[in-house]
Amino acid sequence: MRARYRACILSLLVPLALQGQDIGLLRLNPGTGATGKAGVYGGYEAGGYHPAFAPSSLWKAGASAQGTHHGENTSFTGSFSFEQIEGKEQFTSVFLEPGYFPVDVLEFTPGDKTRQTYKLGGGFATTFADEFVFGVKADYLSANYAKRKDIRHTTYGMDLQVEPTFAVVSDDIGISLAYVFRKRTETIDAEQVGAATDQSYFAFLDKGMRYGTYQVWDGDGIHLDEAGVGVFPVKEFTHGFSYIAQAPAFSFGMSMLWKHGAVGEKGYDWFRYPGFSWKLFAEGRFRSGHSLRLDLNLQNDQLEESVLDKVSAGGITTPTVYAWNAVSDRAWASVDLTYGIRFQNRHLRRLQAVLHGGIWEEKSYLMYPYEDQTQRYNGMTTLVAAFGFGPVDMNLRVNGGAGAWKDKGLSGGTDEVESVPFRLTPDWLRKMEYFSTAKAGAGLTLTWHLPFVRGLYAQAEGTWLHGFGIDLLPGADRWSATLRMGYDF
Amino acid sequence: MKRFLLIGLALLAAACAEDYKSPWPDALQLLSVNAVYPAGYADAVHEGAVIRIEEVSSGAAYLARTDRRGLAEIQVPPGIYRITCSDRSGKDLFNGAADKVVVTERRIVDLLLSHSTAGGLVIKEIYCGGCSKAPQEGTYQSDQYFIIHNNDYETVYLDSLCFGTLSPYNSTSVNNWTDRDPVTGETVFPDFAPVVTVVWQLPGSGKDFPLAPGEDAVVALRGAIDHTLQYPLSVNLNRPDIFTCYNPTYFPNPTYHPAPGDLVKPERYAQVVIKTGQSNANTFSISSPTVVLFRTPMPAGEYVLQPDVVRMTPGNSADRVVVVPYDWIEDAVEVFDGRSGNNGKRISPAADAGFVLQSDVYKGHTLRRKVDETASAENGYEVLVDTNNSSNDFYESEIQSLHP
Repeated sequence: MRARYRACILSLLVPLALQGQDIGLLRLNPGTGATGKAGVYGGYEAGGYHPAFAPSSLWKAGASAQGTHHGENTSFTGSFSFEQIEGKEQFTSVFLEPGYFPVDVLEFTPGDKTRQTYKLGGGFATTFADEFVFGVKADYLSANYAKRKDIRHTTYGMDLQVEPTFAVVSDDIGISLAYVFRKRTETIDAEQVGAATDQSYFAFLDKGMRYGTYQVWDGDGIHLDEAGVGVFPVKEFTHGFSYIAQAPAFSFGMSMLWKHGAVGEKGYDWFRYPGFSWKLFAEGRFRSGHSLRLDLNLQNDQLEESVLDKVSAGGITTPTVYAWNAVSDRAWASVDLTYGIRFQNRHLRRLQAVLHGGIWEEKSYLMYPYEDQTQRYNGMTTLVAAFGFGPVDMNLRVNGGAGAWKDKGLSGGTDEVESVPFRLTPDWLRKMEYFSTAKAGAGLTLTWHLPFVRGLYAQAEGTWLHGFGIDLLPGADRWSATLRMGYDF
Repeated sequence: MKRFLLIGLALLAAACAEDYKSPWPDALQLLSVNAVYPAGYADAVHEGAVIRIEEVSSGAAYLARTDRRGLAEIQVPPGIYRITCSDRSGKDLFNGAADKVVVTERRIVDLLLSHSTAGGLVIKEIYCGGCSKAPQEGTYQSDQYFIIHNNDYETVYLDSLCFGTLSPYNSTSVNNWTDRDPVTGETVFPDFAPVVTVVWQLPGSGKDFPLAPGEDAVVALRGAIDHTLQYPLSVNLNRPDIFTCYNPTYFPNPTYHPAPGDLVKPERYAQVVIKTGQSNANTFSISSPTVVLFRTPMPAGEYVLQPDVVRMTPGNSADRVVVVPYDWIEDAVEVFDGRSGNNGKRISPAADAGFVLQSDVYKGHTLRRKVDETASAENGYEVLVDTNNSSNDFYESEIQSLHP
C-alpha cells in the first residue's frame, strides 16, 4: 500500500523543479548530529574590463558561519554572513544590483563607494506522521551602499524571503511544495553637501533601454529629492511557489513567482511594474559518476509610469494619480546545460562542462509615438577540473564566450511631433560592449587542509577575465585575488 | 546537443516575444481642441492655425492644425497637457492657453483666444538666475536685471512705467490665486495680475525718459554696480543710462542693494509705489519669475490706496498683493523652472500664453527675446518677436547680454 502510495505521488510530479534550497528536504536522510562551517576572507579586484557601475578596483573582506543540527524529528539550520566592499572610482547606477529593477538612477561623478551586506538565514523542518515534513525557511538581507562625494547617496536595501514548506519524504526520496513570499526594498537618499559650483550635478533616471530623464539631480524629473518624499524608494513583493522532487538518481523542480513592484511612497506613486519568473531544472546522476543537469530560466516585467498631479485645495497639496502609461517591457531567458563526471582517481576528482545561452528582449515606449527595441544574445562555455593532491585541493576553471546585440532604432516620429525621447547613448553603448564582446577567463583555487587541526583550511583563489575588441571600456582585463580561512565542523 | 540548445533558446525567445505588442493603439485618447476667437474676430477663424499640446511632466510636445472651423484633433496618450495657440493676422494677435488639461479619455477642449496687438514696450531680456562666484566658491544673485525695448516705430516715454513680479514667486510653488475647473480640470485664472512684494515705478514727470524706436533701457533689480570687479562671470551695471531699484528706506539690505556705482544717476532711481512684502531686499525669483510692465490710468500712488486693490494672498497671512487689471499690462513674461516638471502658469494667457524655460540657476544664463530679422530690416531698427507667447518669443542664452 505504501509503495503504491509513493508511486502515485511520484507519478503526479510535473517534471522540472528547483533543487537544493528546500527546507523540507533537509529531513531527507538527515542522520543525527550537527555540522557547520565558518570562515573569513579578504580579497582585491582590479582592471578596466568592467561595467560602468563597477569600481575600477576594490577591496573586500567578510565573514560567514553556517550550521545545521539534525534531531530525531526536527532539523534546524542557520547562517550569518557579513561583507564589506570598498570600491574606487564608481559612478552611474546607485542601486545595489544595477539592472534588477526596471528603473535605474545614474549619477556621473566617480568616487569611492562603500557597501556593507549582512545576511541572516534560518529554518527548521520537522517530521510528523512518519513521512510528512513541515518546515519554514527565512532569509534576510540588509545592505547599505554609500558614496561620500557629491552627488553623494546612501542606498538602503532589505530583502526578506520566507518559505513555508510541506514535504513528503521516505528513505531517500522526497517531494516538497513551498509557498514563497519575498519583500525587497531599496531606498536611495541623495544629497549635495559641497558648495554649488558653475558645474551642476546632473543625474539620469533610466526608464528602460537608457531612455529617460536627464536633469539636475534634484529636479522633479529625477525624483531623488522631490518635495513631499525626499528619497527614491522602491518596494517589491513576490508571491509564488516552488516544487521539488529528489531521489538518489534524479532531481527536478520548478518555481513560478509573480512580483509586483512600485516606485514612490506617500501617495507619490511614480512607477509600478508587474513581473513573472519561471525557473526549472532537471538533473540525472548515474552510477558511473556522470551527471547531467538542465536549467531553464524565463523572466519578464513591464514598467508603467503614472500620470500624477499635485492638486492643491485649501492650502493642502494632495498627489493624484489619473492614469498609467506603459513605458518599457523586458524579458529574458536562459538555458544552462551542465555535464559532470566524478572520478575515484587518486588525483583527478571531478570534471565539469557548462554550456550557457541567454537571450534578452527589451522595448521602450517612453514617448508617443516613438518605439525602440533591442535584442541581445550571449553564450558561454565553462570547463572545471578538480584535483586532490593529499592535503591540497586544486580547482582549475577556464571559460569563454561571446554575445551580440541589435537595436531596432527609434521609430514612429512624424513632423507633428516636436520632441524626441532622450537617450543616454554613451552609457548604453558601453553597456552593450561589455555584454557582447568576446571574453575568455580562467580561475585557480588552491585549498590547503591544515594537517594539525582537522577541518581547518586555508584557501587562495585567483581569477582573470579578458575581453577582446574593446573600444569604449577603460581596459581589456579584470583580475581578482582572494584569501580565505575556514573551518568545517 | 548544440541544435537542441538553439531550439530551446528559440522556443524561450518565442515565449518572451508573445507578450510584446505596442501599447499605443489601445492607450491613445482623442483630444479635440476648438480654437474660439474673441467676439468681433469671428472672421479670423481659418484653417491651419497651430495648436501646441505639451505633456507637462515629460515635455513631449505635439502639433495639431485647425480645420476651417477652428477645430484640431489629435490622438495622445493619457497625461496632463498644456495646450496653447498663437495666431496672428497682421497686427492682431490671438493667444490662448489651457493649463493642466487632464486627458484620460476622449476630451473636447474649448480654447478661448484673447486678442491683443503687438505692443510698443516689450521686455527684451530677463537675467534672474545669478552666476557662479568662480574662481571663488559659491554663487551670486545680486546682479539681476531686465531690459525694456521699444518695439514700436514711435518714441515711447518710460516715465511712470510700473513693473513688478507676480505671486507666487516661483512657478513650482502652490498657486492660491488659480482654481481648477471642477468639470474640465483646467486652470482658471483670476481676472487680474497679483503683483507681490512691491510695485516699482520708473521716475519722471512725463517726458523725461524717452526711448526711441529700437532702443533699450536697463533696469537693475538689485545692485547697480560693477559686479565683475569681484565676480568675473557677472555683469557691469554701473552705467549712466541704467534705472535701478535702490531704496534704502524700504530695502536696506546692503548685500543685495549696495550703494549704486558712481556712474548711476540718482534721477534714475526707481520709486517704490507700495511695498506689500516683509523682505529687506527686492524679492525676485532666481528660477522662475513672472515679470509685468504696466501703466495705471491714474497716479499709481492713488490707485494703490483704493479699496480692495491690496489683498491678502489666500492661505497666507504674510504676503499681500496689488491687483493689476490685465488691460493695463504693456507686456508680461512668464519664466518656468527647467529643473522641475511641476511648473504652473501664474499669468493669464491673455497676457502671456506660454512660458520660457530657464534650465538651471547660477549658470549666468539669461532669457532673451528673439529678433524679428525681417521686420528689423524693413524698419531700419531692431524689432523683436512679439506674439504675446513667451514659448515662441523667448529663448535661453548661456551668457548675459551685458557680460563684458
